[in-house]
Amino acid sequence: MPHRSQSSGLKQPWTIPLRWMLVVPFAVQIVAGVGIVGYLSYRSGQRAVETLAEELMHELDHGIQQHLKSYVGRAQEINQTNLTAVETGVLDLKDFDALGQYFYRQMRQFNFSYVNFGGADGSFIGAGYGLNQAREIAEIPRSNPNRLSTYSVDDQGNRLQLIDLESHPQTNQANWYRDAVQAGKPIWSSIYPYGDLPDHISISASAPVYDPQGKLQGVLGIDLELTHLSRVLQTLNHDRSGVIFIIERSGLMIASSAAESPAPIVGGQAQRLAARQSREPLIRDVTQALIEQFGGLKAIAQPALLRPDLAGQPFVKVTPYRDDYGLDWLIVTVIPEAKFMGEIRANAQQTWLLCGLVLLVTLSGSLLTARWIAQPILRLTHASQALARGEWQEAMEKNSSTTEISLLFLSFNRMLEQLKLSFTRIKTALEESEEKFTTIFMTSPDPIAITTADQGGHYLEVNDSFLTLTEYSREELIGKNSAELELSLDLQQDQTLRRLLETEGSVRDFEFNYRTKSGKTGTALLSLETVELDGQLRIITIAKDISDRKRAVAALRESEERFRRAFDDAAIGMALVALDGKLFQVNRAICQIIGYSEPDLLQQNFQTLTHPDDLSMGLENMRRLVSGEQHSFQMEKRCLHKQGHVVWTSLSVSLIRDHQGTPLYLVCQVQDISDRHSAERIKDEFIAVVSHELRTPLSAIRGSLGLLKSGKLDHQPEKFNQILQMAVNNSDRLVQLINDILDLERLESGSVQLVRGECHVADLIAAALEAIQPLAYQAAIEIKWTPIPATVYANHGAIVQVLTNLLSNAIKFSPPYTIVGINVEFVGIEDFQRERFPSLAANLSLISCPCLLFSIHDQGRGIPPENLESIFERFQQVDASDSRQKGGTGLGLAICKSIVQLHKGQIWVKSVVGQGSTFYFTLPLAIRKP
Amino acid sequence: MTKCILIIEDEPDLRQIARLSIECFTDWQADTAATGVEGLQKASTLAFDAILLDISMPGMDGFQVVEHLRSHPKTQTIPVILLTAKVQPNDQHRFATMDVTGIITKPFASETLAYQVAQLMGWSIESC
Repeated sequence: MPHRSQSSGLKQPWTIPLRWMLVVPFAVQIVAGVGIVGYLSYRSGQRAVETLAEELMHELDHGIQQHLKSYVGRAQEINQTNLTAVETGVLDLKDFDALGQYFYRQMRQFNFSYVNFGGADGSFIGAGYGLNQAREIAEIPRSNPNRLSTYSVDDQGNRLQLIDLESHPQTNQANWYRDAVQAGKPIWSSIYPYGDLPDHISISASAPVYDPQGKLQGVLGIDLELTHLSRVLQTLNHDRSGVIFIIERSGLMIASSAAESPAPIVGGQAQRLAARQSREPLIRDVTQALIEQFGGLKAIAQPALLRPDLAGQPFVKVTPYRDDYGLDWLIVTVIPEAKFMGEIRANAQQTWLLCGLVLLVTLSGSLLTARWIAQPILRLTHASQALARGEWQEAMEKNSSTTEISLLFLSFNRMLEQLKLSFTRIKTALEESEEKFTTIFMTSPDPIAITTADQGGHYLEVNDSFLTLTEYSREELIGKNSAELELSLDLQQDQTLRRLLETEGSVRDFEFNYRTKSGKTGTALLSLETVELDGQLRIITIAKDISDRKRAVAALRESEERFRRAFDDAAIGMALVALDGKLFQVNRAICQIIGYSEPDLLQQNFQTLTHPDDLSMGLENMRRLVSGEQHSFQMEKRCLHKQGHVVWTSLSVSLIRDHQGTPLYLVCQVQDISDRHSAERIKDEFIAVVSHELRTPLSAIRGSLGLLKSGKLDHQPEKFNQILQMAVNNSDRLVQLINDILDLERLESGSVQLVRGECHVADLIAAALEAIQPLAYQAAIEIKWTPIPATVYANHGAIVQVLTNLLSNAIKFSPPYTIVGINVEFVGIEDFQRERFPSLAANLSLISCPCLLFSIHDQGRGIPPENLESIFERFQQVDASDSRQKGGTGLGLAICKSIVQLHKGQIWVKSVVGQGSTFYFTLPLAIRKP
Repeated sequence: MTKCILIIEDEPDLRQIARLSIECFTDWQADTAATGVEGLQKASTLAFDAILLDISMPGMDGFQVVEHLRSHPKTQTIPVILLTAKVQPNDQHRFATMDVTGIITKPFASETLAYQVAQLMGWSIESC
């Protein structure tokens, strides 16, 4: 059997080789671990460095401050001590020899540059280092303030020899003197170059001396050489990796650890160096950074740590240094980050190196492991793939030392054997199946074709039934397609079929109109399936020829349509009725007969539509039909119209049974026989009435004659004559009756042709009056009329009969001594339209106008409204006793009506009970002779 | 014992002929009524052995008269013989359902009317 193969090659979008599966996650984990450790280690080192730098800078700063306090601060302390000594009299400011020695000792003891006193009188005594850096004592005696004598001294401060003489020295004009006198208190002088010594700057602590009266005695001064500070800073910054410097708030350099003079010689003069002009980039840049950071050096009020964005990322600490005598400097410590980070970077490099080594070793190890595990699995995979491709493998050699993989090999080999076995079985089964398929294919009574699945759809194989259906030979078919052979009747169905096949994959029972080789057409139900045969997609088409069935269905449909139309359009009412009486199909005629719309009628049943009096007979007839006692029945039955009235119908019913004879439903034919029934009823009634009316006078005649003949009255002549007269009267009445009946019959049947001519109204009325006068006289009735000169076109005798009948009635029903009036007038249609005769409105068209209107009026008892029309019917007297009491046959008005209508006139009556009646009739005017 | 017959007939001629037909040929007594109402009145106040009843009468017709007669204790046992000109099958069907002793159709033979009545009633008759 051909079957659809599963798609080979289990292709999945994301597959990763086992080797990478084993190696990659491992490597990723190691790299991530090492990376995180390295990073954290580096960060922690950085934090340690920051701490360390801060501590170091703090220490340096502290050291510098201590030094400044002990070196610079001591100068002011000594000045204070000397001042106290002068005030207490321990020091005599007049004894310059003792003072000189005293100052010399202090200079040596505290390593000051110079200790001196300048008197207000221009005298001067001081000891210190001279311009040649040799120790000396200089004096301007009070006796001669214009001469400064400088002496070399021994270690004890004893003057050795005069080494210099200077005339007109101006010590009182120097900064140290003048500033102190101006301030009036101990101060620091501004920084100044020390004489003309290059690279030397000094500062002086000056204290003015006053006598007890507050008079200025002079100024005590101690000079400090600040170059000394640079040396101290250089000592602190022994490794020279950073820089320490002290500056004034003005930005002028005081000291620095850099090998740079704070007062270089410019143009032969020592000039103060501004920090921003320093040759040392760190000093220059840091100063600039401080100015930018704080908005000027004067703004730095508190010690601050900062990391300006400079090359080498230095740590910077700036600390203000102030004292009570106006000193206000900034100590700046700068340590480049590299000083500490060098070590840490080296450490980090080592870490990265170690990590790299670990990674390398791990990757190699995992690669080896992966290879070790994956290799046998890869072999198994290749073997499986080969197997999947249908390449049989020999049993695999299990060469793995891993237990699980060995087991896997073992299982694989077993599976291989099982597969071989199964394959052999399947192959055998497949061969058998193919053989069966071929047999079925070739012998199937249904046409089958195998075609290519591409757009071409060429026939590859067809069975004999297919050849029979298409009338082609196998050679003509194979290699061609449906379009080439023009097998399809229209292109549309081909396209639909192809679309269905593409979207659904298969098609079931597709109705296909085909054309055979000889041009015969037919319809087949096609079922198509896409299958894989020998590795190729094919379409198997199985056809079922339904041409005969289609033709039969069409014929049936046509037949049904014919029947339906015959049923629907039949003039006779038809209904199909279920056995329970329910109507389930009706035609138009029956709907019209009983006044229902089709949907309404289908809600009804036989029982509800049948008059109760006819129902039992109808049901009994149906029972007999169903039981087989009769095949059909006819009956006259009363149906109930939707409006409630009865419709007389003739019903014919037959029963439809199925092949087994089981009753299915009833076919009812219904004919409206109301008119016929009505006519028959009227005829029956007429006969009954006529019979009765004839028998009554006849009974009197027969009875009279019987009595006379019996001789019982022979001896009673009066009685005899009375009875005889009774016989005569009744004979007359009988004759009159018969005449009337015959007249009426002739008039109504049209068998009598009334010969008409011009009649003068006066003649007609005169003739009628002549006939009726005796009756009027007898009844004491006066007849009045006004003649008019008019002529009608009529049968004279007939109209006289009408007038006589109407006058006779008027006289008969009028009380004595009343008047019966006759009136004749011309009328036009407008008279009728003026609502003079409302009862005529519906019949106006029946009146030919202009005409003559005759009216006969009496003052009799009148006619009840319900009888106004029926009195013109035969034997329809208002009171049945009238015929006896008033004479008359009950046919007079019917005869009048017939005559008037034969003259194209109308007759009617208006009446008020108790007041009288007026009978009207119209006759056409005689305009011209026909 | 002399029989007493009530004739109810609206036609005066026929009323008279019927009466004569009874009285001239028997020793029975005959009384007449011109309408159904008059007949019922007489039937309930006088004693009659039989009633000859016309059907077609104005006002109360013969059918109603029988109905009234049968619904009153005093008259319900009086035999009624219909004397009628109604001879149509429909009429005959209706008569068959009525509680009457017999039907004599019009025109009737006046000389044998009494005889017919006696026969229907099972009476003996002696000619006058």
